[in-house]
Amino acid sequence: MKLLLPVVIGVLFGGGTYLMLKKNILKLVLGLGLISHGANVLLISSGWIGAGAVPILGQDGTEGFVDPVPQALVLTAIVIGFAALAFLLVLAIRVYRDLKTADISEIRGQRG
Amino acid sequence: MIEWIHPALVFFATAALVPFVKGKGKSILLIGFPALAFFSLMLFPDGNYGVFTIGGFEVVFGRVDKLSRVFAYVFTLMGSVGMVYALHVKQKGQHIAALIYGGGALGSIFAGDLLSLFVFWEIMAFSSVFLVWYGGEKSWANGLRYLMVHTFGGLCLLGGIVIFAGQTGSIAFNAIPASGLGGWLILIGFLINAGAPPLHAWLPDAYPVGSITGTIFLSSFTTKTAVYVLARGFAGTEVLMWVGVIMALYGVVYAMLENNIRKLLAYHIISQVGFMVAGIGVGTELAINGAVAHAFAHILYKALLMMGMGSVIFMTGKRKGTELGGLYRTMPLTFGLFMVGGFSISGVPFLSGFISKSMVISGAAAAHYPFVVLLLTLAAAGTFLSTTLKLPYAVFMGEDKGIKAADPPGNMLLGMGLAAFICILLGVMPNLLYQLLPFPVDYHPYTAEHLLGSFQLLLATLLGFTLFLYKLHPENTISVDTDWVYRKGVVWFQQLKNPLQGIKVLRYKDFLQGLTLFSRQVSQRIQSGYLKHALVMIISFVMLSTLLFSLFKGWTLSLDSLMQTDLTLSQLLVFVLIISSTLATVLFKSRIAAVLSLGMTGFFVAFFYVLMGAPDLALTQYLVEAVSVILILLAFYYLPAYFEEKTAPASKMTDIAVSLLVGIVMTFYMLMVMDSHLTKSIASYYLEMSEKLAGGRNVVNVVIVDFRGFDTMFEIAVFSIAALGIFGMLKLNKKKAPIQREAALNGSLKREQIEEAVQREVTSK
Amino acid sequence: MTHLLVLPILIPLGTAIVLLLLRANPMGRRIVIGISGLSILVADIVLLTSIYQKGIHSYQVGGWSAPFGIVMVGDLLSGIMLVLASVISLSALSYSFGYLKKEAQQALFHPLFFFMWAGTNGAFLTGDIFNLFVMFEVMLMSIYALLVMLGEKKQIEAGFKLISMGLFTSALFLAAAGGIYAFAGTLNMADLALKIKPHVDHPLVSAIAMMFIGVFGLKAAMMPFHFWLPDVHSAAPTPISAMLSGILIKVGVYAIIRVFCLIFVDLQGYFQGFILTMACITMFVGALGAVAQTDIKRLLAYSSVSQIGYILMGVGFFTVGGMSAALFYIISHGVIKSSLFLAAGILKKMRGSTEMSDHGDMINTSPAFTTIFFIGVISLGGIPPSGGFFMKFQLIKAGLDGAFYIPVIVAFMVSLMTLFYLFRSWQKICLSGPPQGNPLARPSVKLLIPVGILAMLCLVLGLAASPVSGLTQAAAEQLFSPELYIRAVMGAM
Repeated sequence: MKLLLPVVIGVLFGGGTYLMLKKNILKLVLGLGLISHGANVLLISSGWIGAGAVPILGQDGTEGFVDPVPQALVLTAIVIGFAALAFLLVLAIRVYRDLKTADISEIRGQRG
Repeated sequence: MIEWIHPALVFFATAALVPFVKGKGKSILLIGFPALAFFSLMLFPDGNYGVFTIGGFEVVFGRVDKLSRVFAYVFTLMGSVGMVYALHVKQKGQHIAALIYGGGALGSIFAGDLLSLFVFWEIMAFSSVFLVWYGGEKSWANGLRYLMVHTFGGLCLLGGIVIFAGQTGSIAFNAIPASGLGGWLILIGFLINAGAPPLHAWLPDAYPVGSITGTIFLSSFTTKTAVYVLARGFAGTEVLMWVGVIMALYGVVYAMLENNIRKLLAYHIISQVGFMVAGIGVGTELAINGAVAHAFAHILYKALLMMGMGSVIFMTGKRKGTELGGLYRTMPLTFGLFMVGGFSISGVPFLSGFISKSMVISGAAAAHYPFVVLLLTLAAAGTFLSTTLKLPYAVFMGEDKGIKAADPPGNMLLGMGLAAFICILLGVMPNLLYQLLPFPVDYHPYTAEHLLGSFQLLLATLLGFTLFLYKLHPENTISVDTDWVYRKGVVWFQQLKNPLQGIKVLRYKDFLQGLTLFSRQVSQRIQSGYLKHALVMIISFVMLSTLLFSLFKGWTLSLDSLMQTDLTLSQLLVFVLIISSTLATVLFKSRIAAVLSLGMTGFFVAFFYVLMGAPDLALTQYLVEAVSVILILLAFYYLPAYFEEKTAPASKMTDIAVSLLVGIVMTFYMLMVMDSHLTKSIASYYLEMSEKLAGGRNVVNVVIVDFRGFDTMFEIAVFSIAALGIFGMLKLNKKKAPIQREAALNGSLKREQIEEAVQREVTSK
Repeated sequence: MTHLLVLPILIPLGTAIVLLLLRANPMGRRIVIGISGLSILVADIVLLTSIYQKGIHSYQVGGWSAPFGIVMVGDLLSGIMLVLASVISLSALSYSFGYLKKEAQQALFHPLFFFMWAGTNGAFLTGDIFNLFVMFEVMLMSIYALLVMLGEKKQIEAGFKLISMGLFTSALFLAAAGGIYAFAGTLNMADLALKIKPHVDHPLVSAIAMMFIGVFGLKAAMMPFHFWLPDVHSAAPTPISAMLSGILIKVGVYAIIRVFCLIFVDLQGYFQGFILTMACITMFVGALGAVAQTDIKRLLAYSSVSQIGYILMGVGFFTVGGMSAALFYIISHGVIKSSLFLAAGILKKMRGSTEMSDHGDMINTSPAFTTIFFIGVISLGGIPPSGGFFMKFQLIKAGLDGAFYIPVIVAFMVSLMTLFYLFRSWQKICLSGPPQGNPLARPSVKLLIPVGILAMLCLVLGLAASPVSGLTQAAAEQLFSPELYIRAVMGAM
């Protein structure tokens, strides 16, 4: 059932997008959280060729391990994603405090 | 040794010097240098000077031959005369603009290649607009429109040049065939400057509002430069003949209807340039000679007329014919000089207009274009009627309005006197002008036939004018509304005028306003200001195009590979858990539940990492997820409690559609990704080399800190920046105390930077 | 000078950290900023000349050979972008001293600014697609932080919007990077070019290329990704607006050029129509927006959108001439637009507003300002003899040479609109009568100097057009022989 992993990613991205489009500012944060999970899952799966061993070398050769590179990438992505999420969260609080609303549809910039 | 002094350079140099001189020195500079340029022209023989090679093209700044020389003579002459007239002007900017403008015109006529022609052409446009703008605040909009039209012309010209050069491989400026896109674009660019209808409207729009002295220069240079380039590039192009005829008539008709005295003269420029364009279109030697001679004569007498009207405005402040009258008593010299110009433009014998205008008409006759002859003659009669009869009648004679006025200052009179002197001189001694013309002249204006013909025409028109007046106003008290009489007399013109006005409105004045309005509406629609609209647009655009671009490459799904079951039970379980917790995050109506299920999703994702053979990653993910959830829960305190929301059904449909699109595209994308591991990845290298070269058994760690250490370094930088940003948001705008606790909390949860920052803040207090 | 290639990244990074440590010492910070700012400029110029003389440079970070380690690559395109970035950054920096009055603001502003600079330079130099993502994040995160730093309502709002859009595209970038790694098994761009070349018609490659266009298009403010730009540019602190318009949106264009002239070389034809169409729409929409504006900063922001359209058009021709013209355009527009933004900042300082109706009569208040603004206007309008003329001329010539008539016609029309909105704004601000309210203060010389220097550069670009276009021509030729780049990175293969 190879289909299932793509569906997982699709659901993460789609669900995240759905939340992003809602009005509540917190939902936008949650949505972006889901999307970044989706991106991470996609990234780690890019080295997936089926099951493999944890890439910690023992004494016997270099065969049978999973690809270590995507793992390194995901680690970077997780940290960056977390930093961005924290920043966004504090900014959301600032939006609520300064603009007196947590409803994104009421935060309307200049038209035109 | 200087081989040649470019007269344009003299003008530019003068412009550069103007700011530094005062009083008499300024007068000498302003008059002397253009005069110097005039005489310098006599010194150098024909030939190409100032030849450079730029980017593989040969640029010729100074092509001196008979055609360019005659225009240079009249331009420099006019420069001096105009400066005499403008000496009293205090604003040095006006002088500078006029000098740069004149320099641009001279540069254009000496340009031997299209590129330098274009550069000088633009210099002309952008310096002359200042002469319009110096007319005062009312002239700004007009000036801007003037600029827009000329820029459009310049763009056409540029486009034409580029295409033309691309086709012929040369940018030399010689005869250009009026065929192909390049030729036509160049022709349109030239014709805009010549003021050919329907591209003429800038001229009567801008000239009447320009500064009094600036208008003299305006009426001399732009259109005549256009005549020069047409004579150079498009001589004998038949379409020009008809364009010219239309211009000649069109200008006269509008001139007759006009009340604003300078606008009337502006329309006459169109009409007179029409004669020249027609002569160029006929293309025989005689006709081109006529066109050039007419340009020469026209610059001087039109300047004279403009100066006359300028003096009237200068002394009285009134611009409308109906507001003026009876000035011949108070401004006798102005009146007399103006009449010299008026008679010249009408082609009265022994004045300059006669010797040139008759030449154009004879040229057309000799080339057997009877219609052209007829129509041009008609236009000549109209010119006489409006300029020489109507205008002076309204302004100088007619009812005395008791306007207190006197002849203008000496320098203005002197300028007019000089121009009038040259008009008479050329009329009496036509060979002075004829020997300058590009082709040998075998033409004698003062034959009995010509003289008789023109007198007949003039007398008939005069008779018509007086009869007309008499018939309508037997008591002869009509000076109030001379032009009203005309409107009565030529009612059908008005009917003609209205639809034409409609076109004009459509064309530019309100076009720019309309453009602004239209832009506002369109861009308010595009940029609605809502984040959601932007997100919907961006997301659906990128998703749809990703889908389409891969589908068009012929993507097909192999079902077999999909159905291969290599999923273990634990994998299946994790997938189902991730999906259900995601859906829970989306659907929960309580915010705590939603946040917790986001956390659950993270935990299940971490499980997935374990299954993928990445325990380190899973550990990090657990940690980060826990911290995130705590952070979000903390944020609850500062955010409103409501979470559930009411959404309009239509809006909800959009949300669902967009997110379905994203979900489906990402699913397909991932399918493609899984379907296409084409080459062996670089992973095996790391697995082999990790221990040997980097001395680590945990390959992931080795990759992070060593092989891709640079990434990690900047990942930390991102982290620090985010911390700094949060710190800045909270610290630089402290209004509420509780937020500071948040800062401390955030800080304690992160790496050292923010702790340091917060601590330093605390200690600094 | 083997480490020359990482200096433009490491100096600003190090400076940022030093500046953080020197929080309490304003004088020390000033000295550090001065010294390291200039040394970055020098390093960039030395690097560019070295690249020009010796060909493409590559540097293996940590000594790991490509494609396994991260490689920094400097070709002429990178070199040009680096120098442009340092010129604009230095002007913005020197301007910021007069603009930010409070020490506390400066203490935060400058480290973030240098982080941003490091990220920008890193993006120009990196030869690794995932490292590009990281560098982008460094740059973007600094922009986010700088944008909301002063805490004005408009800034908070604009910043929130930008971050929401930016984080979504960051996720897309990850997805695209994951896809490309799964497909080709490598992350090094030169190696990717080699690995993908035989399989270029695979649909996944097109999907990834399109995602990259989306990701980079957002940074470049290509329509329809431009929504953030008018709000952000008009709300941001002026030095940041200048940086955004001058260099940061060009980073997006740079990345598009890089991927399409290296990894997806053979997809140029497939995407050409799309890019040109989007370029034309961007051009037009931006100009429409600018015509509608009454606020000078917002007008300039929309104008940037429109000009990005021009640049993308040059890129989209995919000819040497078009690319050279686009690069020339990037340079001149960078200089011109940042000088105009800084000039708008002076207006804001004078009367606390950037609405054009609040200003007037600058010709009498400050002839220097009027002249500087005029130079900017004629440059951006493309009037000879300014640099702006050559940028438009080369672009149009390239278009006609390649027989792209429709884009050229659109460019013609839009440049008329450009002139209209620019001249109208100049007239309103400088020529119209004095505005209501308090008498105008004179603009401070401190602020005028960096603006004046940039304005002078606009003119110099016009006068020195042929050496500069010689350089861009060489860069474009280099871009269209990707094998040079690949050889420099991968060694002889």
